[in-house]
Amino acid sequence: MKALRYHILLALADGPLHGAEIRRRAEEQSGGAVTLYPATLYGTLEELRDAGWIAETDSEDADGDRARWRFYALQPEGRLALERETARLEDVVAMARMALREAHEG
Amino acid sequence: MSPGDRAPLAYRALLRLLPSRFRERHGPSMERIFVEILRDARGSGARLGVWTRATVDVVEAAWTARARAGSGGRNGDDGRGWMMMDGWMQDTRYALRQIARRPGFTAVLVLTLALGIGANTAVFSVVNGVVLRPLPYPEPDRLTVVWSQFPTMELMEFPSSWAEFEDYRNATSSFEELGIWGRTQRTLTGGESPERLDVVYFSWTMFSVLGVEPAVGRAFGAEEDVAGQDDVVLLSHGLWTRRFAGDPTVVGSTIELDGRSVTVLGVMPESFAFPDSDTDAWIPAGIDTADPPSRSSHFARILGRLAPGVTLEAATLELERLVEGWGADHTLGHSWNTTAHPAFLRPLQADVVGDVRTSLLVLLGAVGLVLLIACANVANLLLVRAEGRAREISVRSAMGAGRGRIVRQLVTESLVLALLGGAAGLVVARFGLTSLIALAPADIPRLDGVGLDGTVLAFTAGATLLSGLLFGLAPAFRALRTDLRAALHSGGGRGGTAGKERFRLRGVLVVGQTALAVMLLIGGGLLLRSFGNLTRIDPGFSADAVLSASLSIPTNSYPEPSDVTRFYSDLLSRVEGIPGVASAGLVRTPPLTGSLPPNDIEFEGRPSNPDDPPLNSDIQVVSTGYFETMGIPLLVGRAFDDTDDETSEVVAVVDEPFARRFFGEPSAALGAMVRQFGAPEYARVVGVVGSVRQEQLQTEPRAHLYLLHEQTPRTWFPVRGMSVLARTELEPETLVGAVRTEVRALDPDLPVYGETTVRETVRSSMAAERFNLFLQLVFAGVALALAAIGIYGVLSYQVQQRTREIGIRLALGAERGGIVGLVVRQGMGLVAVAVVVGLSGALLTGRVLSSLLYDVSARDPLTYAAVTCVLVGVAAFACWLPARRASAVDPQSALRSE
Repeated sequence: MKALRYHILLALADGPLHGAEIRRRAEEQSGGAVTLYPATLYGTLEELRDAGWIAETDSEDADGDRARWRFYALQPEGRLALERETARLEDVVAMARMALREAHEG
Repeated sequence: MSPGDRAPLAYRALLRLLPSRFRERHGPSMERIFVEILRDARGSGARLGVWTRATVDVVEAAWTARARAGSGGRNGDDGRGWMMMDGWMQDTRYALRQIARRPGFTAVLVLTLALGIGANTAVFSVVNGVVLRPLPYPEPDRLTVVWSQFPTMELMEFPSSWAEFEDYRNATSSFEELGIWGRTQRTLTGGESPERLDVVYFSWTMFSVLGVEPAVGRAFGAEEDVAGQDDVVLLSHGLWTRRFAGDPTVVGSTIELDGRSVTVLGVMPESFAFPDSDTDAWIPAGIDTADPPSRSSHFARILGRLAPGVTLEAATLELERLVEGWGADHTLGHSWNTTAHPAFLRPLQADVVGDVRTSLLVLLGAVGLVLLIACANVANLLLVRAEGRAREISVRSAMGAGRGRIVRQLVTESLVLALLGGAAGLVVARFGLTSLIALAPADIPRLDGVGLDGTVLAFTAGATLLSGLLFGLAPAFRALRTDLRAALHSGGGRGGTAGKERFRLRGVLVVGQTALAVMLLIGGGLLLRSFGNLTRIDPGFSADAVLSASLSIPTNSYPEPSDVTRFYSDLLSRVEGIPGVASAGLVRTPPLTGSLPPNDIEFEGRPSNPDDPPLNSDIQVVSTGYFETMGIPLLVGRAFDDTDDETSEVVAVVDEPFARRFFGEPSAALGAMVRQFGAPEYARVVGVVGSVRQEQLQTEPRAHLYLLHEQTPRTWFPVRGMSVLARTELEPETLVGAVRTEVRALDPDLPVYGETTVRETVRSSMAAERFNLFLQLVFAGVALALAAIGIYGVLSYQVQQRTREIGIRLALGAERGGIVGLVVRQGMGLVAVAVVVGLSGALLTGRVLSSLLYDVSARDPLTYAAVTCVLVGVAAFACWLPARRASAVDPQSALRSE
């Protein structure tokens, strides 16, 4: 899974957020490594929505304004994908440790 | 408006790149997020970074969205092509992100490339517009100019006579059609003020030779191209709109040219500019076929259209055979020593472009070398950058990315950089071209058609891609040789051997670019020497404060030669009377404004002898006061004076080359009787003056025969067009109005044109050389600066890498001076190699400059030595800066830093 998708799903794990919040959360949880610029952010959000991993929810402050924030919520399929990817990353880290140890010794 | 208000607007404009559905759904949120990011950025550098990354972000998203839409419509495709595209797209996106991550670094690279590519684009658009662009006629490569040559007189491009043209046209089959043309001038009267027009006469066949038709009306035919029937004219589009407001009813009406009523037959197309865009109108040649001009009267320039399939060589052969036949025929009317003269054929395009071709191609070569040097600098910067990325690359490679993939990634990054540089280069080129055209000398042909057209854009694209590949090769090559494990271990690679190899690669780049800079410096140095020689040429006159203005006296209001004479002597005394005028004179063709007509001459009582030098001299027509006004020294005898007039004895003045050629020494020429071949009267030579450079400063002075204007009806032909010269006590420019007033007082319908000063004429005669020199020096200077930066960069890097080693040396007691010597020696070693390579390169290629140099060899040792000194000096300084830093290393902290 692409790092961007992973961080967006991870950001939504605690509950629905809007775009600006997702951006801030992703930046915090990656230690500043992931900076989401607007077009990439919304492009990825649309991809995730099309895949059925997240959904747009009606926000509480909806007042028919076109400029209102859209909120996004993690769906069950999305949570499953997030868990699978986390497990895979754990495997990668384990393998990388082994490879580096060999390199040191060899 | 504050930046905070403006930012969303520009960003909103950027969002227009996105598909509209996406923009409508998310646009407002995206703007708010963007403003938030921008608010967090502190300082203009950070804000520039945000803008760069946001731009890349939107462009990338738009690209992906559109590619997705495109691939959706391609069902049935096996998908492989798209996977490839996908890989490239991924690389590109990655590259864009890498580039956006370091906006300052990127800006330096893009700016360097933009200047290099921009300068190349600007120079190439001039080369394209002037040299390469085909002439705007159908099948232009069949158009061929026919010149006559007189090798004994060193006249290699000379017009032909009417009789010769008739021979070419009737007795050869190589040409589909031939025509003659020539330049003349006419005064257009009948408007609010008279206007002097540049007019070209055409034989009627010229229209089919060129393959053009008037845009309005019709061309003239054979029936109008006859003396007496030729009261017709075709207007240029420019004259038609300027003078007649583009009124179509002017076709068929009559206008006044030199006081003669002529019918406007038509208007030529706007794009038609033969022989050049200054031409205002075309009139029939109007040759009197009943009494044709003499065979020795070489006035006609010939243009032919080769028959389909006939080569230039075949046509040359046919004409050569024809001309050989003339030599055998003594009844042809030439004087004996010039009967046989070769014909010389050349494509019209080459004829139009002329000498400019070489200097423009040399310029293009020079600016191309500058781009190569810039590429070397960019490659060096990328190599430094690659050091910092060695770890990233090793990790990617350890994670399973193949080497090919990594190289592809690096090349993609270089190409993306090059494309950014190319795009910015187009902006540079647009402004560069404007200033280039403004600086260019007026005599560069076809300059008005120069612009950034499709050919130029293709060139820019090519130069961009080539640069990208060139500077991208170094980091890619380097990545291929990276020792992955070493890099992973040592955190960036400070290993001894790897470092050496890296230094070697960067050393090669520095040697290459410094060698190219040496070549450019030598080119610039040679042109500088040549220009210095030009400015030291003695033109033969000294006329710092002399005003010049031209006139031509029309036949209708001044029918008799004596009317013309009276007009000019009245004008001369009026001009002499203007306060501030010290002396005044008349001359037919002022020095350095054009060549004089060479004429066959004969001496009384001196039968021509086959061993004599060719009896031929250029003829100049002047008035009393001319030599004094122009500051031309009188060597022996006397100048023309007030005792000489139209009725007194016919007299002549000759110059030193004339006297030496025909009499051995100046004083021996006094008293000789000379005339133009076949003229009514002989003239007595009364004085000898110094030689004058007439055509250009560079051309050696030719023999001059000076005739007195009042006597030309008896010695040559009544000359009507003259220039008035006035030596002034004040700045000559201030008296232009006064001279005009005097002319208007004599005849209000007479236009005065071509007002200038002799100083300006001398200056503009060197305009082409000055332009060339200026650009070559700019390019050489840029090359030197780039090479110095390259040397500095590679040594600084080297010093930084060796901080620890230097620290150890110092700790072990090495002198600081010794450390400076160590670094400088290393740098100067590279420079020495570069100088040797560069000097050899210059020796091998210098010949292309030969035709641009005056009185200096392309292998001038002084220039080579001077360039070596300059380069070594600058390079030593570039070496000394990092050497000083090395000697300032603190051994303690250097040793601790590892």
